[in-house]
Amino acid sequence: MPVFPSEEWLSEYVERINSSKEYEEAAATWEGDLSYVFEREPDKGVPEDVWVWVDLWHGKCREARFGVPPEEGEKARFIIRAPYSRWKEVIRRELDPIKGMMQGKLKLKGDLPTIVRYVKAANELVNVASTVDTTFADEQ
Amino acid sequence: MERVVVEEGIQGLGIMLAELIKANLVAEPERERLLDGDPGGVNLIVPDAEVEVGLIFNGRGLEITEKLAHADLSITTDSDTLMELTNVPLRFGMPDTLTAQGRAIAGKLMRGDINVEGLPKHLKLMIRLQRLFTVA
Repeated sequence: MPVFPSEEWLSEYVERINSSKEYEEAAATWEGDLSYVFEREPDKGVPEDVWVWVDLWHGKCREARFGVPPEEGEKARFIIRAPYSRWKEVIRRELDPIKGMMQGKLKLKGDLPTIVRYVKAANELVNVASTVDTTFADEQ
Repeated sequence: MERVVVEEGIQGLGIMLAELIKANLVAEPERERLLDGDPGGVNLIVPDAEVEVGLIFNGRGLEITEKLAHADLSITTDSDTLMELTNVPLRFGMPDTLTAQGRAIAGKLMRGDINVEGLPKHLKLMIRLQRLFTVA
């Protein structure tokens, strides 16, 4: 079972994105890349911030890179960041990402009107993440 | 001068609203006039996310603050509906019931899923706010 966060987990995630009809439909006109930042929590097995970059285009993920340098990840159109354990809550669907943003638990950088227009697609990205059989870094 | 200001210490929803409104003003500068006019205060309460913010139209701009002790309008709804409200096509500044999204919002208003205290007395204020934050 892939460990979150890891390259193996990202590959599985991308595969799930690309086979999700729901995401494909919700993001049919989406064009833009996104960086996820899983912020360090050394006591939970994540010693450094992890940057993941995904290139999302018309309902598919064209490319993804794990562990990109921050200066590269920061060039993405959107950046969503939170501490590792918040992401764990999101993947386990214990934290709704939109509520998380409203509560300031997840921080978004990028054009908010676009996110609002594609809120269903954003939710589907999370739904897809929750379908990946995951071992969490602090539970290995 | 910054016309949309967030009080220090405000996080999450307050920042999101400010960013949304600022982006809308850049995209459509004619919406700036909505920040002028009569002063008024609005509370936005989202119980499922356990967040509350206050919005003060001060005649020169908009301040986003903690929940106001006395608001002209108080809007209570859940987080999903709030996102829908920011994404609904408008007609005369209100959700357009000729569209599916507008009808969904109207239905939620009728059922009380969106509760707006202060209407109809402060209808103009509601319309200003709706026009400021919609992206549709």
